[in-house]
Amino acid sequence: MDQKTYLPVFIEETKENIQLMSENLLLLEQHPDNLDAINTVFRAIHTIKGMSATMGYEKISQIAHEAENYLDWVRDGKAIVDEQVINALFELADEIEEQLNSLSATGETKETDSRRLAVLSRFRQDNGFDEEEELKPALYSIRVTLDPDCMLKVARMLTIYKQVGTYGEVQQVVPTVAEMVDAQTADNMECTMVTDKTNAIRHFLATHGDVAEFSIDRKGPAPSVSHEVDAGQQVAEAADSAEPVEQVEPVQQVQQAEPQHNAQANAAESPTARHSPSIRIDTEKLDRLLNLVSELVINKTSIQQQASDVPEMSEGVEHLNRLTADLQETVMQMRMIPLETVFNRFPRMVRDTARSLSKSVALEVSGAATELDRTIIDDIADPLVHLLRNAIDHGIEPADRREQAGKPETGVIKLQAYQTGNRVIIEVADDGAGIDAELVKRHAVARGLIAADEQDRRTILNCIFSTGFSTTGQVTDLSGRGVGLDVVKSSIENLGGEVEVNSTLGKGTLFRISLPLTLAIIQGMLVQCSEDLFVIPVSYILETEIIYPEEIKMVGQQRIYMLRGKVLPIVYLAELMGVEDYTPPEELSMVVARHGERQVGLLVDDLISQQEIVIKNVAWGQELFRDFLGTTILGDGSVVLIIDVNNLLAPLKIKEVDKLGQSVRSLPARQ
Amino acid sequence: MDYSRKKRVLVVDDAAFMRMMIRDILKKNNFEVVGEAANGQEAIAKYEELRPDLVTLDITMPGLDGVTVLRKIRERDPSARIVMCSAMGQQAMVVEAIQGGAKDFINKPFNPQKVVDTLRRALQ
Repeated sequence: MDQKTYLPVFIEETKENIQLMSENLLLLEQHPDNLDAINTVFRAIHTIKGMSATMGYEKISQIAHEAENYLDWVRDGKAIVDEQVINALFELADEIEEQLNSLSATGETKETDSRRLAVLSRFRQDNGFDEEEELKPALYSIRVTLDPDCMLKVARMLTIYKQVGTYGEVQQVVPTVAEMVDAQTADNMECTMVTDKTNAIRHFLATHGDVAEFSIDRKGPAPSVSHEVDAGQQVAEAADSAEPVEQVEPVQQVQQAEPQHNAQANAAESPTARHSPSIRIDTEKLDRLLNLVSELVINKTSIQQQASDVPEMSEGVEHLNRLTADLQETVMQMRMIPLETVFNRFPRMVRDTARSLSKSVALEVSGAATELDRTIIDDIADPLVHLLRNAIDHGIEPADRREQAGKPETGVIKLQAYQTGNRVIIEVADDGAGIDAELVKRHAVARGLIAADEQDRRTILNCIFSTGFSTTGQVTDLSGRGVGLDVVKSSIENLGGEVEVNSTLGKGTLFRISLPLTLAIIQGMLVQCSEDLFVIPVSYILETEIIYPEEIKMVGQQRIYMLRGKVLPIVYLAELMGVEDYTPPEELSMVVARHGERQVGLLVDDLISQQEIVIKNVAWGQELFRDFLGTTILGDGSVVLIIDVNNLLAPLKIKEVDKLGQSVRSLPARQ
Repeated sequence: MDYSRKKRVLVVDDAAFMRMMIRDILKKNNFEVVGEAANGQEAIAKYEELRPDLVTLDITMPGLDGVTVLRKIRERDPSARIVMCSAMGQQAMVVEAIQGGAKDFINKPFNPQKVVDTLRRALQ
């Protein structure tokens, strides 16, 4: 069996379990006596241990074993969960995650960080728990309840009893095999045995599909008088004779099981029980499916056009139309992933960041079920992490400042997602210090980002997204906003999204991100340039305008246009595309496109239409196609290039124009 | 479990359809079906010849029944790992087989996942 086949699944499932563990550790931190949370953590770590041992990753299973041992004591009420323990368990979760990362990167596990491992074993020693003791044989009561749907219960119970019996010395079993056979049914069994292999028994029972519940309770030390009949022999005898298992007098009176039995039995539920049925599909196959569907849509459009003159076909075409629309929608839905997958790791991150800054912060998440295309999901995590860190670091004030301001000690960060139309909004709001708009304004004016008489609050505040703006220590400290918001902005814009900020000094700050549902289908503007058609993604377009060649001015080598009193550098798309002998028409169409923080006017011959287009990635000659996002096929079958505005305009030396622009800007605007 | 090689399985059932079903489940789950037998005599002979890691053995077969075949195979090889295939209402036979040394059993109609879980368990 090829281990590589299982590696991706192993990594993914282990990550899911680490996530489960983290979530419940956070719960435990709030409510240290939450038995469900302890059991869930135990179950997650146990699953990780079992899977990694099966895969042969001893290091990971050792780490998990370390955590499991401690939790076992906790579940038995012999050890407690305090902050130190939770931190140590978090560390172990991190260690496992690092091992996984190493596995996916290199295929090998890395050296374990022994300090992390040492913490828990030290706790165990401090608490007087010696691992050796657990490994010594002791008297255990093992109870098993079969799944009610299990068939042939007597036979099933018998196989379980036989297997459990191989792990130690059976003292007594209730009911006996003969009683089970007589009764023709067996729902429960209690087996009293001396064993040192409780972990093996637990593993066997926990992974057995027909076992509904089980418990393993320590009854006391192993009896000093050893029995002459060993367990294996007993089972063999039982097997040979089909007689009831000999009722060996238990040396120690079997006590009635304690009520904690139920809680432990809960832990035996299958770890996968909470997942709804689903299958994993290679994302490449989904992309291929989408591609096929989009070709089908194009084909349909062409048939529709041809059939428009044939009344007999109208019903069929209408049906085809509905089906393809449904099909397209379904495929798009298949690519949608809930934001939950990204949001999941934030509680832990916020906790850690807040702790490292000695701040008290509560994260409130809502709308995690909101779905986005997976291509966007992949890239939205980093900007969000950035915004959340900023909110904790620079937004939420230290406790004493909060007290002075009459705010509760714990700062609140709200992370909210929701869908409006075909866009998804994600908001990060904090109730912290807010941004001082006056300071931002002074700084922005000094840098020439806005006019000195700029009044619009939003325009002023949004200057914090400018490159280099926030990296100056002065504003960072005073405005309470950290570095790199320009990076946040550009990553979001690369996803076809937008980000804006609003803030009230002393009350808090809100970042609002707006994202398209998908990148595979975009709104595009079809433009004519000389004899060719191109698509410009609407997300880059700020506005369009009709202009005349005589309105174009030259500043140095650069063509400019005065748009409502502001200097706008302009370029002919035909020039960028290398059209020779280009003659501009008498009436030009100008697309005002966003290019980073600047605006550039792209001159084209004509605007044809705005429409939904399906992007087909160009797989060959990437370098040649650097200036394009891909291609799309129009209804008539023609192939059109989609312009990547950022890349296409990148080589232009518009910087000079910026400087010129400033000087022109200070002149009275020409109307 | 040893992942280094596929586990070799002998499938015994008088119904070709059941053999085919088990074979398909096993193949999809990385077991190697090294042989098939349609009756008890053939099963014993094939076991001697192939010495598989595991046998799936139908209980109800014309001629020698599964429990008898189980005993005969285990007489020849006490370490033989045998999983019985049973239908509802054969509890007594299954109990007898398990007491006779069968590792485990699977129920008809087959649930592929349970079949695979059971066989893996039997191989541990």
